[in-house]
Amino acid sequence: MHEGAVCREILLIAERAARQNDIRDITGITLAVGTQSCVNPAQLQFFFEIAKQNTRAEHAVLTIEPDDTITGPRQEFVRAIEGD
Amino acid sequence: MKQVELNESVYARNDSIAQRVRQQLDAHGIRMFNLLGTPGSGKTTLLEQLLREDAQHIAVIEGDLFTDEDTQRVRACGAQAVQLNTQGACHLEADAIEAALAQLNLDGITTIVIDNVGNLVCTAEFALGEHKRIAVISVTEGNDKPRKYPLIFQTSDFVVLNKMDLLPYTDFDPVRFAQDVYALNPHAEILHCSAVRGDGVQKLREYMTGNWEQEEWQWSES
Ligand SMILES: Nc1nc2c(ncn2[C@@H]2O[C@H](COP(=O)(O)OP(=O)(O)O)[C@@H](O)[C@H]2O)c(=O)[nH]1
Ligand SMILES: [Mg+2]
Repeated sequence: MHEGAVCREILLIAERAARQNDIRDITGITLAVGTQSCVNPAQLQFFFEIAKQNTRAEHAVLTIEPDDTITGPRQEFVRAIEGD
Repeated sequence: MKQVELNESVYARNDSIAQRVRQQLDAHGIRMFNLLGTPGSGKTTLLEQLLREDAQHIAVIEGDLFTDEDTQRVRACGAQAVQLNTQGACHLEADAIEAALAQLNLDGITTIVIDNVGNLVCTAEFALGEHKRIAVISVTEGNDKPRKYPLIFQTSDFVVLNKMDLLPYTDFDPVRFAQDVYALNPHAEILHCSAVRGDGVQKLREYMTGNWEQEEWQWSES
Protein backbone atom coordinates (compact mmCIF):
# COMPACT_ATOMS: atom_id res chain seq x y z
CA MET A 1 0.00 0.00 0.00
CA HIS A 2 3.01 2.29 0.21
CA GLU A 3 4.49 1.54 -3.19
CA GLY A 4 4.97 5.29 -3.78
CA ALA A 5 7.44 5.47 -0.89
CA VAL A 6 9.20 2.27 -1.96
CA CYS A 7 9.51 3.58 -5.51
CA ARG A 8 11.01 6.88 -4.29
CA GLU A 9 13.63 5.01 -2.25
CA ILE A 10 14.52 2.72 -5.18
CA LEU A 11 15.18 5.77 -7.35
CA LEU A 12 17.19 7.53 -4.62
CA ILE A 13 19.38 4.44 -4.16
CA ALA A 14 19.78 3.86 -7.90
CA GLU A 15 20.60 7.48 -8.74
CA ARG A 16 23.16 7.76 -5.95
CA ALA A 17 24.86 4.55 -7.11
CA ALA A 18 24.80 5.82 -10.69
CA ARG A 19 26.48 9.09 -9.71
CA GLN A 20 29.14 7.26 -7.71
CA ASN A 21 29.86 4.88 -10.58
CA ASP A 22 29.70 7.33 -13.45
CA ILE A 23 26.57 5.85 -14.97
CA ARG A 24 24.65 8.51 -16.92
CA ASP A 25 21.89 6.30 -18.19
CA ILE A 26 20.54 3.55 -15.94
CA THR A 27 19.07 0.80 -18.09
CA GLY A 28 18.10 -1.73 -15.42
CA ILE A 29 17.31 -1.90 -11.71
CA THR A 30 16.79 -5.20 -9.92
CA LEU A 31 14.70 -5.30 -6.76
CA ALA A 32 14.60 -8.43 -4.59
CA VAL A 33 11.47 -8.87 -2.48
CA GLY A 34 10.97 -11.36 0.34
CA THR A 35 7.94 -13.59 0.73
CA GLN A 36 6.29 -11.48 3.46
CA SER A 37 6.97 -8.18 1.79
CA CYS A 38 3.78 -6.13 1.38
CA VAL A 39 4.72 -4.65 -1.98
CA ASN A 40 2.43 -5.16 -4.94
CA PRO A 41 4.56 -5.56 -8.12
CA ALA A 42 2.00 -4.17 -10.58
CA GLN A 43 1.44 -1.07 -8.45
CA LEU A 44 5.16 -0.59 -7.99
CA GLN A 45 5.73 -0.77 -11.77
CA PHE A 46 2.95 1.78 -12.27
CA PHE A 47 4.60 4.24 -9.85
CA PHE A 48 8.04 3.55 -11.29
CA GLU A 49 7.01 4.44 -14.85
CA ILE A 50 5.86 7.86 -13.62
CA ALA A 51 8.57 8.58 -11.08
CA LYS A 52 11.53 7.67 -13.30
CA GLN A 53 10.82 10.58 -15.69
CA ASN A 54 13.59 13.20 -15.64
CA THR A 55 15.97 11.02 -13.65
CA ARG A 56 19.01 9.00 -14.69
CA ALA A 57 16.67 6.02 -14.65
CA GLU A 58 14.41 7.43 -17.36
CA HIS A 59 15.17 4.47 -19.65
CA ALA A 60 15.43 1.88 -16.92
CA VAL A 61 13.48 -1.34 -16.68
CA LEU A 62 12.58 -2.34 -13.13
CA THR A 63 12.86 -6.08 -12.55
CA ILE A 64 11.14 -7.32 -9.41
CA GLU A 65 12.50 -10.68 -8.27
CA PRO A 66 10.59 -12.58 -5.61
CA ASP A 67 13.14 -14.30 -3.39
CA ASP A 68 11.64 -17.04 -1.27
CA THR A 69 14.86 -17.41 0.71
CA ILE A 70 14.15 -14.04 2.38
CA THR A 71 11.51 -14.15 5.10
CA GLY A 72 10.31 -11.53 7.57
CA PRO A 73 8.67 -8.17 7.00
CA ARG A 74 10.12 -5.20 5.15
CA GLN A 75 12.46 -7.24 2.96
CA GLU A 76 12.91 -5.21 -0.18
CA PHE A 77 16.44 -4.70 -1.49
CA VAL A 78 17.84 -2.94 -4.50
CA ARG A 79 20.10 -5.76 -5.66
CA ALA A 80 21.89 -4.09 -8.52
CA ILE A 81 21.75 -1.45 -11.23
CA GLU A 82 23.18 -1.47 -14.71
CA GLY A 83 23.70 1.17 -17.33
CA ASP A 84 26.19 3.19 -19.35
CA MET B 1 27.55 -1.47 -19.92
CA LYS B 2 28.36 -1.32 -16.21
CA GLN B 3 26.81 -3.43 -13.49
CA VAL B 4 26.86 -2.39 -9.84
CA GLU B 5 25.89 -4.73 -7.00
CA LEU B 6 24.14 -2.87 -4.17
CA ASN B 7 21.93 -5.03 -1.92
CA GLU B 8 20.58 -1.93 -0.22
CA SER B 9 17.32 -2.06 1.75
CA VAL B 10 14.67 0.41 0.65
CA TYR B 11 14.08 1.08 4.37
CA ALA B 12 17.73 1.91 5.14
CA ARG B 13 17.39 5.68 4.72
CA ASN B 14 14.26 5.89 6.88
CA ASP B 15 15.82 3.65 9.55
CA SER B 16 18.94 5.76 9.79
CA ILE B 17 16.87 8.93 10.24
CA ALA B 18 14.80 7.11 12.89
CA GLN B 19 17.99 6.26 14.72
CA ARG B 20 19.10 9.90 14.62
CA VAL B 21 15.70 10.95 16.02
CA ARG B 22 16.06 8.46 18.85
CA GLN B 23 19.54 9.70 19.70
CA GLN B 24 18.18 13.21 19.91
CA LEU B 25 15.37 12.07 22.21
CA ASP B 26 17.74 10.07 24.40
CA ALA B 27 19.96 13.11 24.79
CA HIS B 28 16.89 14.94 26.19
CA GLY B 29 15.74 11.96 28.29
CA ILE B 30 12.45 11.91 26.37
CA ARG B 31 10.40 8.78 25.65
CA MET B 32 8.51 8.65 22.39
CA PHE B 33 5.50 6.45 21.66
CA ASN B 34 4.05 5.59 18.28
CA LEU B 35 0.27 5.25 18.56
CA LEU B 36 -1.01 3.22 15.63
CA GLY B 37 -4.25 1.55 14.66
CA THR B 38 -7.38 1.59 12.59
CA PRO B 39 -9.08 4.89 11.72
CA GLY B 40 -11.70 5.45 14.41
CA SER B 41 -10.32 2.92 16.90
CA GLY B 42 -10.03 5.73 19.45
CA LYS B 43 -6.38 6.81 19.27
CA THR B 44 -7.06 10.50 19.70
CA THR B 45 -9.71 9.94 22.38
CA LEU B 46 -7.19 7.86 24.33
CA LEU B 47 -4.61 10.58 23.91
CA GLU B 48 -7.04 13.19 25.22
CA GLN B 49 -7.52 11.03 28.31
CA LEU B 50 -3.76 10.72 28.82
CA LEU B 51 -3.42 14.50 28.50
CA ARG B 52 -6.15 15.12 31.03
CA GLU B 53 -3.65 14.40 33.85
CA ASP B 54 -0.46 15.69 32.37
CA ALA B 55 -0.62 18.02 29.39
CA GLN B 56 2.50 19.93 30.50
CA HIS B 57 5.01 17.15 30.02
CA ILE B 58 3.56 15.46 26.95
CA ALA B 59 3.94 16.80 23.42
CA VAL B 60 2.03 15.39 20.47
CA ILE B 61 2.84 14.88 16.80
CA GLU B 62 -0.42 14.42 14.90
CA GLY B 63 -0.47 12.57 11.60
CA ASP B 64 -3.47 12.59 9.30
CA LEU B 65 -4.00 12.78 5.58
CA PHE B 66 -5.86 16.06 5.80
CA THR B 67 -7.08 18.65 8.35
CA ASP B 68 -5.75 19.72 11.74
CA GLU B 69 -8.84 18.57 13.63
CA ASP B 70 -6.94 16.22 15.92
CA THR B 71 -4.31 18.87 16.65
CA GLN B 72 -7.12 21.19 17.72
CA ARG B 73 -8.48 18.47 20.02
CA VAL B 74 -5.07 17.91 21.58
CA ARG B 75 -4.32 21.63 21.99
CA ALA B 76 -7.69 22.03 23.69
CA CYS B 77 -6.31 19.68 26.37
CA GLY B 78 -3.43 22.10 26.92
CA ALA B 79 -0.65 20.18 25.15
CA GLN B 80 1.82 21.29 22.50
CA ALA B 81 1.07 19.68 19.17
CA VAL B 82 2.47 19.72 15.64
CA GLN B 83 0.27 18.66 12.74
CA LEU B 84 1.70 16.58 9.91
CA ASN B 85 -0.53 16.21 6.86
CA THR B 86 0.54 13.44 4.51
CA GLN B 87 -1.75 14.68 1.69
CA GLY B 88 -2.92 11.19 0.88
CA ALA B 89 0.09 9.12 1.93
CA CYS B 90 -0.85 6.21 4.17
CA HIS B 91 1.84 6.47 6.84
CA LEU B 92 4.36 8.77 8.54
CA GLU B 93 8.10 8.52 7.93
CA ALA B 94 11.06 9.41 10.14
CA ASP B 95 12.10 12.54 8.23
CA ALA B 96 8.74 14.17 8.98
CA ILE B 97 9.14 13.32 12.67
CA GLU B 98 12.60 14.87 12.71
CA ALA B 99 11.17 18.07 11.19
CA ALA B 100 8.27 18.06 13.67
CA LEU B 101 10.64 17.71 16.63
CA ALA B 102 12.39 20.88 15.52
CA GLN B 103 9.06 22.71 15.84
CA LEU B 104 8.44 21.59 19.42
CA ASN B 105 9.76 23.29 22.53
CA LEU B 106 11.21 20.29 24.36
CA ASP B 107 11.89 22.11 27.66
CA GLY B 108 10.14 20.18 30.40
CA ILE B 109 8.82 17.55 27.98
CA THR B 110 9.25 13.95 29.18
CA THR B 111 7.04 12.18 26.66
CA ILE B 112 6.16 12.54 23.00
CA VAL B 113 3.22 10.71 21.48
CA ILE B 114 2.88 10.30 17.72
CA ASP B 115 -0.80 9.95 16.81
CA ASN B 116 -0.14 8.08 13.55
CA VAL B 117 -2.29 7.98 10.41
CA GLY B 118 -5.12 5.48 10.88
CA ASN B 119 -3.92 2.41 8.99
CA LEU B 120 -3.22 -1.18 10.03
CA VAL B 121 -0.82 -1.94 7.18
CA CYS B 122 1.74 0.65 6.15
CA THR B 123 2.29 2.46 9.44
CA ALA B 124 3.77 -0.74 10.89
CA GLU B 125 6.59 -0.84 8.35
CA PHE B 126 8.16 2.52 9.15
CA ALA B 127 10.28 3.11 12.24
CA LEU B 128 9.92 6.69 13.45
CA GLY B 129 12.46 6.75 16.28
CA GLU B 130 9.94 5.66 18.88
CA HIS B 131 10.87 3.73 22.03
CA LYS B 132 7.59 1.81 22.16
CA ARG B 133 4.64 1.13 19.90
CA ILE B 134 1.06 1.17 21.11
CA ALA B 135 -1.50 -0.41 18.78
CA VAL B 136 -5.12 0.67 19.30
CA ILE B 137 -7.93 -1.53 18.04
CA SER B 138 -11.54 -1.63 19.14
CA VAL B 139 -14.08 -4.38 19.81
CA THR B 140 -16.31 -3.17 16.98
CA GLU B 141 -13.71 -4.11 14.36
CA GLY B 142 -14.02 -7.89 14.54
CA ASN B 143 -11.86 -10.67 15.88
CA ASP B 144 -9.97 -11.39 12.70
CA LYS B 145 -7.67 -8.35 12.65
CA PRO B 146 -4.53 -9.89 14.23
CA ARG B 147 -4.72 -12.76 11.74
CA LYS B 148 -5.25 -10.44 8.79
CA TYR B 149 -2.83 -7.67 9.75
CA PRO B 150 -0.07 -9.46 11.68
CA LEU B 151 2.77 -6.96 11.42
CA ILE B 152 1.19 -4.26 13.54
CA PHE B 153 0.62 -6.75 16.36
CA GLN B 154 4.05 -8.32 15.93
CA THR B 155 5.77 -4.97 16.32
CA SER B 156 3.69 -3.37 19.07
CA ASP B 157 4.70 -3.47 22.72
CA PHE B 158 1.24 -2.56 24.01
CA VAL B 159 -2.04 -3.49 22.40
CA VAL B 160 -5.00 -1.43 23.58
CA LEU B 161 -8.32 -3.17 23.07
CA ASN B 162 -10.62 -0.16 23.11
CA LYS B 163 -14.38 0.48 23.30
CA MET B 164 -14.82 -2.24 25.90
CA ASP B 165 -18.00 -0.40 26.94
CA LEU B 166 -19.51 -1.63 23.66
CA LEU B 167 -18.52 -5.27 24.15
CA PRO B 168 -22.04 -6.47 25.10
CA TYR B 169 -23.34 -5.22 21.74
CA THR B 170 -20.77 -7.11 19.65
CA ASP B 171 -19.72 -10.70 19.02
CA PHE B 172 -16.11 -9.83 19.81
CA ASP B 173 -14.28 -12.48 21.85
CA PRO B 174 -11.45 -10.91 23.91
CA VAL B 175 -10.06 -14.34 24.87
CA ARG B 176 -9.70 -15.38 21.25
CA PHE B 177 -8.20 -11.96 20.49
CA ALA B 178 -5.56 -12.41 23.19
CA GLN B 179 -4.68 -15.88 21.87
CA ASP B 180 -4.21 -14.48 18.37
CA VAL B 181 -2.11 -11.55 19.58
CA TYR B 182 0.12 -13.71 21.81
CA ALA B 183 0.61 -16.19 18.96
CA LEU B 184 2.10 -13.34 16.95
CA ASN B 185 3.86 -11.57 19.81
CA PRO B 186 4.29 -13.32 23.18
CA HIS B 187 5.69 -10.11 24.72
CA ALA B 188 2.71 -7.91 23.92
CA GLU B 189 0.85 -6.33 26.84
CA ILE B 190 -2.87 -6.25 26.14
CA LEU B 191 -4.88 -3.55 27.86
CA HIS B 192 -8.66 -3.37 27.95
CA CYS B 193 -9.81 0.24 27.74
CA SER B 194 -12.78 2.42 27.26
CA ALA B 195 -11.30 5.69 26.14
CA VAL B 196 -14.61 7.56 26.36
CA ARG B 197 -15.10 6.48 29.96
CA GLY B 198 -11.42 6.64 30.88
CA ASP B 199 -11.31 2.97 31.89
CA GLY B 200 -7.83 1.43 31.61
CA VAL B 201 -6.18 4.77 30.93
CA GLN B 202 -4.39 4.89 34.28
CA LYS B 203 -2.88 1.49 33.56
CA LEU B 204 -1.65 2.72 30.18
CA ARG B 205 -0.16 5.79 31.84
CA GLU B 206 1.67 3.50 34.29
CA TYR B 207 3.09 1.45 31.43
CA MET B 208 4.23 4.57 29.64
CA THR B 209 5.98 6.07 32.65
CA GLY B 210 7.10 2.68 34.02
CA ASN B 211 10.53 1.48 34.78
CA TRP B 212 11.51 -0.27 31.58
CA GLU B 213 14.89 0.26 29.99
CA GLN B 214 14.77 3.11 27.53
CA GLU B 215 16.34 0.86 24.94
CA GLU B 216 15.70 1.49 21.32
CA TRP B 217 12.68 -0.08 19.73
CA GLN B 218 13.84 -2.92 17.48
CA TRP B 219 12.39 -5.02 14.74
CA SER B 220 11.92 -8.45 16.28
CA GLU B 221 13.81 -11.09 14.33
CA SER B 222 10.93 -13.53 13.99
N1 LIG C 1 -18.17 3.80 22.75
C1 LIG C 1 -16.92 4.20 22.61
N2 LIG C 1 -16.60 5.08 21.65
C2 LIG C 1 -15.32 5.47 21.56
C3 LIG C 1 -14.30 5.01 22.43
N3 LIG C 1 -13.13 5.59 22.06
C4 LIG C 1 -13.41 6.38 21.01
N4 LIG C 1 -14.72 6.32 20.70
C5 LIG C 1 -15.42 7.03 19.63
O1 LIG C 1 -14.91 6.57 18.39
C6 LIG C 1 -14.87 7.63 17.44
C7 LIG C 1 -13.46 7.76 16.88
O2 LIG C 1 -12.58 8.13 17.91
P1 LIG C 1 -11.20 8.86 17.63
O3 LIG C 1 -10.49 8.98 18.95
O4 LIG C 1 -11.39 10.09 16.85
O5 LIG C 1 -10.47 7.75 16.73
P2 LIG C 1 -9.08 7.80 15.93
O6 LIG C 1 -9.43 7.92 14.50
O7 LIG C 1 -8.44 6.48 16.22
O8 LIG C 1 -8.29 8.95 16.46
C8 LIG C 1 -15.32 8.88 18.16
O9 LIG C 1 -16.68 9.07 17.90
C9 LIG C 1 -15.09 8.53 19.63
O10 LIG C 1 -15.96 9.20 20.51
C10 LIG C 1 -14.68 4.09 23.46
O11 LIG C 1 -13.88 3.63 24.26
N5 LIG C 1 -15.99 3.72 23.49
MG1 LIG D 1 -7.46 10.58 15.41
